[in-house]
Amino acid sequence: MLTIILKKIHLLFVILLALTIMNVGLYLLNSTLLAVFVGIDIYLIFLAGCFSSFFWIFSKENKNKNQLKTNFIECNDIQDCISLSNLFNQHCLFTQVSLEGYIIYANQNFIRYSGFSKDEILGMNHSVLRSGFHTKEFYYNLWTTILSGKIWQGQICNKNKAGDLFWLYSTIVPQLDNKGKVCKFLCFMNEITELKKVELERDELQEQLFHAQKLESIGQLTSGIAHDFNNILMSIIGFNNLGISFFEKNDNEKGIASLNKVRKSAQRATDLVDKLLTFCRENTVKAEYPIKPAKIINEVIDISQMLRSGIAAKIKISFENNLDDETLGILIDESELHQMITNMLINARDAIEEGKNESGQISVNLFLDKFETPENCYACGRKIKGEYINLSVSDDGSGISEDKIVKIFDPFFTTKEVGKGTGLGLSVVSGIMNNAGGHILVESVLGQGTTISLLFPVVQINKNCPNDISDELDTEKNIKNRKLKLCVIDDEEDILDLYESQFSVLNYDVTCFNLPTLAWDEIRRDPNYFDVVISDYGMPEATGLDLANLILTIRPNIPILICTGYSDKLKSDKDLPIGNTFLFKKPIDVKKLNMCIQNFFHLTE
Amino acid sequence: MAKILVVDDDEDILDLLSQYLSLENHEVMTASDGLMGIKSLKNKKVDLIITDIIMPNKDGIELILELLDDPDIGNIPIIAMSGGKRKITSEFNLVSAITLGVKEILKKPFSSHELHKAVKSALA
Repeated sequence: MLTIILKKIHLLFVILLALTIMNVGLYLLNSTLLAVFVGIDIYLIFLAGCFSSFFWIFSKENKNKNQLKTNFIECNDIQDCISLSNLFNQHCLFTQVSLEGYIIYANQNFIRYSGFSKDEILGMNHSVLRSGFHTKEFYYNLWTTILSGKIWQGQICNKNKAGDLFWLYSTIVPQLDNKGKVCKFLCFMNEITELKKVELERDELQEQLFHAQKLESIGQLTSGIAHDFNNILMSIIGFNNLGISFFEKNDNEKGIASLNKVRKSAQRATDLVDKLLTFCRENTVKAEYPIKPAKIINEVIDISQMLRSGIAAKIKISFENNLDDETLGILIDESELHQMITNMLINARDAIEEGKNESGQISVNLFLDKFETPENCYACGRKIKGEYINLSVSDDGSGISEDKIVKIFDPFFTTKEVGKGTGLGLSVVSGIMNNAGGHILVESVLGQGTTISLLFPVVQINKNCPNDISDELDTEKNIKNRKLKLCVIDDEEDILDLYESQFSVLNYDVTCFNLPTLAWDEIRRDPNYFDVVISDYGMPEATGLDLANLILTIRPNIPILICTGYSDKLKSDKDLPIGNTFLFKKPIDVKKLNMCIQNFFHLTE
Repeated sequence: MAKILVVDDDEDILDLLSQYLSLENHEVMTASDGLMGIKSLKNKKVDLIITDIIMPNKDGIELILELLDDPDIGNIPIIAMSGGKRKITSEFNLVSAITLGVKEILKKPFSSHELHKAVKSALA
């Protein structure tokens, strides 16, 4: 706008200048020289010239400036591209990939990290770089995301030509064609191997710490377990000796009663060992499914029973589950939950003993907690707001003084006597809660007791979601839409032929094996391939029961139908391993097997 | 033959010890913790008490201390038994148990022979 006004003023002065010159011309022609007018004219010429040049220069300068501005943008479109491309090539790894995963273009950086040559890379499938670190589901999720036109971001572990692993933080952007369909993918990647290394090392250290602490709490439990075990051993040895003496006196009735006592005690020992093993379980199953409230409180009861004699026997432990809504749960590794509960119960016991409290009482509560006014987490310091599932352990022990409360989550800090605690228990609890996205609250009054509350994020439980750990990937819906895959094992070829023909008619996809070992090799190779296993009982190399036990270790929920002719060995379903195992007596009616499978998958109309 | 009170929270142990002692013709009473033990002592006099240490409600140590305070039953010989080490070693070791008047200590698991030997020596 200003430029336009300036231009107009400039034009005005140019006209003025022209008029003055014309005036001078007229004076000269008239030959009537009037000095005064000439003077004024010259003055006007000078003034007009000055103004005009000033405005001309001024407007020119402005024009230049604006010109520069537009030039800058225009010019930098290209320059930007070049510098961005340089920056990109220096900083990122970049590929363009076809729908099928074949590499169409790769930048130098990518080529360098992959270890392949440019010629090798082009046309190569991205999957060649797979390291085996990620699960099939990981790639499945990745592909379904990008094929649906969404951007995928995440960390991928790849393997270069030499076989070395390298980590990339990748963003995969789908490219759409004219019709809006996904036609290619652009992959932008950053190399994060070093970062990942540090992260993995940290995780490993944390795991070692957790494990060391777990061993420590097992150590704490040993005296209690030893006490129970000694009682059990005494019963076993004692009743065994009594039994012998009764039989020697031909008092069979009392002898048998004694032997029954021996069996009962041995069973108690087995249960005790089972509980101990649950605690020691090393191969922690990663939390995939939420744990329901009833199960949480059962875990607490189980652990406290195991601790019963470790925790002084006169301390009363009460449990209350106010969270009856079974659609809510917590997402945490079961063995970590075990470890936390054990640590908190041991602490409560020690606090009661320290407080020399005569009527020791520990109460465990589970309820839904709402935080309308935010509170600060004692472990991470962040604000707690909203709904949480609260699992609290209260004791009426010695309590913790205010100056010590802030330190209780520090590793190696302990309020206990030397030799009684390593100061790792609550530190581990805090670590686990942090990983689970939860918080911790502490209330304590010196001399009166302590309450430690674990606040877990609330997880909605899907009705179809199995509560126990399951590796079933197929939902019912999936199964309804396709042929069920049967794995049939029998050492008699004739029977196999019979199964194959009859089940094929019933629209099953049948794979037959004449040896349990062959079937096991196949199942192990791809655990999720088969939907149902039908096995004979008596076979060379291994029985159907051995095979079922093996399969259940990798597919805990797969239905296994065992067909037996040896009625004396396998009498009922109760003799089968725990899981979805069913027993069928020979001669086998394929219709019955079919009905069992249909019922299992709810396929009957 | 003596009247003996056996106190233990483990049913099987009570059953076993009763059978052991009955075989030697002793008359046996049982109680499942210290509190029940004191109650039964008020109703019937006994010649010997065999008690476990780690028990709910009232443990063995509390039982022994309460017995010592009572002039009527304070002189009954006591045999203490335990399967756990924690209490016995830290708060109630062998020496102090004996100074408190406990005649014998039995560590679980023990045999019928060990029990009879201890009973004999405690009653002597």
